[in-house]
Amino acid sequence: MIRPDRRLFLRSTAAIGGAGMLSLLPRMPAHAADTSGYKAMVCLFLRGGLDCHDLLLPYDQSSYDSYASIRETMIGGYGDGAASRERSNLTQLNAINNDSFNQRRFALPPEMPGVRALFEAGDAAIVANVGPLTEPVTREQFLNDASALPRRLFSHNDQQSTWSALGPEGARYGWGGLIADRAVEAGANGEATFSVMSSSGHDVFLSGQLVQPYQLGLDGPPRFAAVENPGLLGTAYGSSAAMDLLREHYRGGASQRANYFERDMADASAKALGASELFSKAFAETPPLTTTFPQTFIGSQLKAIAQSINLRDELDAGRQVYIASQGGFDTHSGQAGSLPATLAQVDAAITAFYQALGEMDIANGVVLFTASDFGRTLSVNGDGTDHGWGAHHLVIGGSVNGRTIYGDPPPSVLEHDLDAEQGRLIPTLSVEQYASTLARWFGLDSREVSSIFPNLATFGSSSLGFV
Amino acid sequence: MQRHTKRLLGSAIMAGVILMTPACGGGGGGDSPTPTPTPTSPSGTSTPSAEDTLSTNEESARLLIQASFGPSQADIDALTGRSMSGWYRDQIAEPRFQHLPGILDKELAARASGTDVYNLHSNSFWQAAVEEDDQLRQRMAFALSQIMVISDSGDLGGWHLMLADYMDILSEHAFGNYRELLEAVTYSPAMAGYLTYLTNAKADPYSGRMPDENYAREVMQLFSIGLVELEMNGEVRTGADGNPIETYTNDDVRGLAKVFTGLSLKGSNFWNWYNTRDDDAEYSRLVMFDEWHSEEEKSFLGVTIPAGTSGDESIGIALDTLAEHPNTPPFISRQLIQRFTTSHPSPAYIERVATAFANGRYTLLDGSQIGDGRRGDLSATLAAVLMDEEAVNTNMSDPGWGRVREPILRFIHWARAMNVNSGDASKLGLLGWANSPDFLGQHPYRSPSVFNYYRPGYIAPGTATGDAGLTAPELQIVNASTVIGYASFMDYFQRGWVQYDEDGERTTGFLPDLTVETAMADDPEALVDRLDLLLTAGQMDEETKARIIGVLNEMPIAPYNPDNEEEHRRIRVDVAVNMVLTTPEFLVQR
Repeated sequence: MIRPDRRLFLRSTAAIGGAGMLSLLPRMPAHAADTSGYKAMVCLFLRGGLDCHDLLLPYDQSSYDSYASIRETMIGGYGDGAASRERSNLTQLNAINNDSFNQRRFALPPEMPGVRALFEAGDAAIVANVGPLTEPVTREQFLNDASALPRRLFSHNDQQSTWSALGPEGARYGWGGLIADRAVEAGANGEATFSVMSSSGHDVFLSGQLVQPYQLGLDGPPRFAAVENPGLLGTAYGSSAAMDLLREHYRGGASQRANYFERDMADASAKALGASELFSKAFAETPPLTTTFPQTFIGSQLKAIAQSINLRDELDAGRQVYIASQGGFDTHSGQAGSLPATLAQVDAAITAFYQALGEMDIANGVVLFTASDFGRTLSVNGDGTDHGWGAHHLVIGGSVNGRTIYGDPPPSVLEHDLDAEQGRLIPTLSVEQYASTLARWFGLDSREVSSIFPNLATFGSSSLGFV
Repeated sequence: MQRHTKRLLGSAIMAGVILMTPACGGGGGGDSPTPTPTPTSPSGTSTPSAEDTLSTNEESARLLIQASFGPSQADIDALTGRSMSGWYRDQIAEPRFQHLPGILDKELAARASGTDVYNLHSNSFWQAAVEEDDQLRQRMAFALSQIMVISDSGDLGGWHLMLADYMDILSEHAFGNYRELLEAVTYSPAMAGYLTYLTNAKADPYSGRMPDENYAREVMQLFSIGLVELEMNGEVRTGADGNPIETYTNDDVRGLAKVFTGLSLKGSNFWNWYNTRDDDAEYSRLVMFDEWHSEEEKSFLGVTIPAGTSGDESIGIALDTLAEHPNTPPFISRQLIQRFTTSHPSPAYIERVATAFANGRYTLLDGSQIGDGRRGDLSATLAAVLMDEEAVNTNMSDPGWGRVREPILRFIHWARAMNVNSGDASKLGLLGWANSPDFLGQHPYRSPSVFNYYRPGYIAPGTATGDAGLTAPELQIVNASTVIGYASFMDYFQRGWVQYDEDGERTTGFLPDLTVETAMADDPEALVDRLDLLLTAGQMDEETKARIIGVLNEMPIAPYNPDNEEEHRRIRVDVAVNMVLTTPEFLVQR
């Protein structure tokens, strides 16, 4: 546990330098985020809109029967094998707050044994019926257009953006990035480059005003063939001048470009080369993880993230936000055939990831949570389901107040009080509440949290208590 | 009822797919749909204006970078001195390459012998883009493939014939009419499979089944009108509350979803198409089974189709509605401009192109007209994109002009400029992995979702373009991984390190012919000038050139052993090419 001292040391050294006097002044309101220890948030984005009704299933007989009746045309498609949605094949959740749901009980699908085990062990929780909201909404209000609604509900890209950045496509800053901004401002990270990292391409979720995502390679640090084979580039003949010129070249040249697009590409090259050299060096100097990850896209991503967390000391990182993503959830068709396999991949990857956190002895410092475009309809379109709104999500980590279902899953019937038609759930918990709970755990104070989440006051509680 | 019939079978693309990312998946012009053909002037009858003449090799190279898969020296030589309008008409008249025949042969042979084949469609794409002569048409098809997106990353992966058919639909209509393109796309097995309306059935009150809404939503949001009302110049219209006016509500989606019911593959059975389809069903227009089409009244976008209207007629009304919508000309036009010339076109540029789309006619630089006068004429629209005053007489000091070139185009341009020899792309394993963020981060017809690899409205945070408020779609896939992956990928190909088949034998395909370049290796200035013309249309700045020349001069040719001369010349060329391919001048097209 050398980390806190080392960062303290680095900050003290900085303080002795130029900004010494300034740092003696009271500066609490501006940089209040707690940066002690190491913490990371990992967003697992389930692209396409995970069917919430197929993640958290009703288990008590009466609710199950209603569910099975509404989904009759699809439910047989799961077969009578491992993926069967027969009640007896579901894995019941023994939540410590089961009693607050009266006779209702809940289960996970059979292909998620790893997550279910984490839940039962108290390291995972479910947050029910979360979604974008600007103010609380009832079915009556929804059907009569009598309340303010988030813009462009039911549209994939816009709801992905709303989940990630609190506004439809075009929003510039994601809450992952804005939360990281506060930590960076408070001096949590020696190298800001590694504050927010993605294993799945650019994501607005990680865009802050101070931080921009670093892309993790999925097969270890990226290999720059042209730079890593200097022999072929002439230095075999003893010329370091060629290598210096080459480096300058791959850093985008010495002069700033007048054209904005050219400048952006030159900057991207410079950042890529600089950051990947730092990252590769840290990677080479750190003993590798021994945990085995599944050979799937999501498995490779969570492995890359675990490997990056493993470099936290070498990268001098105290607060990090990550995103991974898995597609295949837009199950308009063939849901019974495809969703169990996709969820099984997610389950296996999460299980390995949690095991790796244990190997690093950092499970209490990392929270993995799911996000998705939206939930889906409870009614069926033949053999699939259509775009919904509110959804149920997983929160996993050693610090999570687990084995609990937060919020209140609506009943498995149609036309209940939170039915935006066809079983699309009107959320009862807002994304902002979900996110601010994580932000508080991450170390932000209430003032910082409310500056990021403008509608929070409308919902009363800024922490849902799951972590 | 068969429960699995709606799902396409077979999604394996290749073993170990871990690096692939499967996911989800106007102005009132042209009121008359009646064709009013206008005779176009035959090539060369008009007097070429100064701006119509491609008077220098640099101008030729620039046009070919904008409008083809990139020039070779021969392409440049053949174009310089000619009229741009004449070139345009010739490209339209160029015989169309079709993917299906070749893929059909391979697929049927594989089925007959029971062997697995992968990537037939993408191999055909790479080869055709490098080798075929109908460059403008294939380039337009590639542009359209980024608007009307299908992807082989999901269930469609193994269905080579559907994919080939779709690729050919895009090239068939590339210079045709948007309304007909939209219909061909809607009735294509590939799109129906991808956006899940294959065997989409009418509502069933007893089971509670509702029509699948997937295509209804995306055909509006992505393929035709977009989410918010637009002026002809692409600017967003706002309501009294200052917010953008949305083009449709979820009720419109539900109404339109009823329209796209009843379609299945050509054959005898709606549900059980897998077992009852005709032999040519995978590449034939879908068939309407009216007994499964919704008889209900269908309301959307202010149009009501009366109860009892047949399926084909309902679809026709819906597609007419989308094609006639005032948003369609600017919505499609802006995206086409982004695919060919610049990422953030001016409102005036958008309006000129959208007007050509709406009027179905455009006057080329030589004064002749193109287009049949029907709304949605794509030959007129594309001409307006390429021959616009902003594209032809570009203010090169405008810092907001240009576009980051798609990685796919960068690779193919390299292949054409280096005269790679013909060969079987299926032997090039690395090409199948182009999608990986550790390489190009992009692959034809393999987008992670129907939203393409990047969004037309993407503004990159923390960038110069972003600070200037410029949309820069391709920057969405530029990151630390793909920057390095791209440079390495190109280096592997340039050096011939990847052109091996599965048995480790060197293949004859995609190897660069560097005869001319190697002969110039002793004269770095000449070599860099050649690459500057071929790859950056003569736009490389002096500082960049000096740096490349500086590196080459530090690489002695065979200082100790004359036997190494040719090898060392080749290494100089390889280093020079990789350096040029990683200059901002090459990465950004201006």
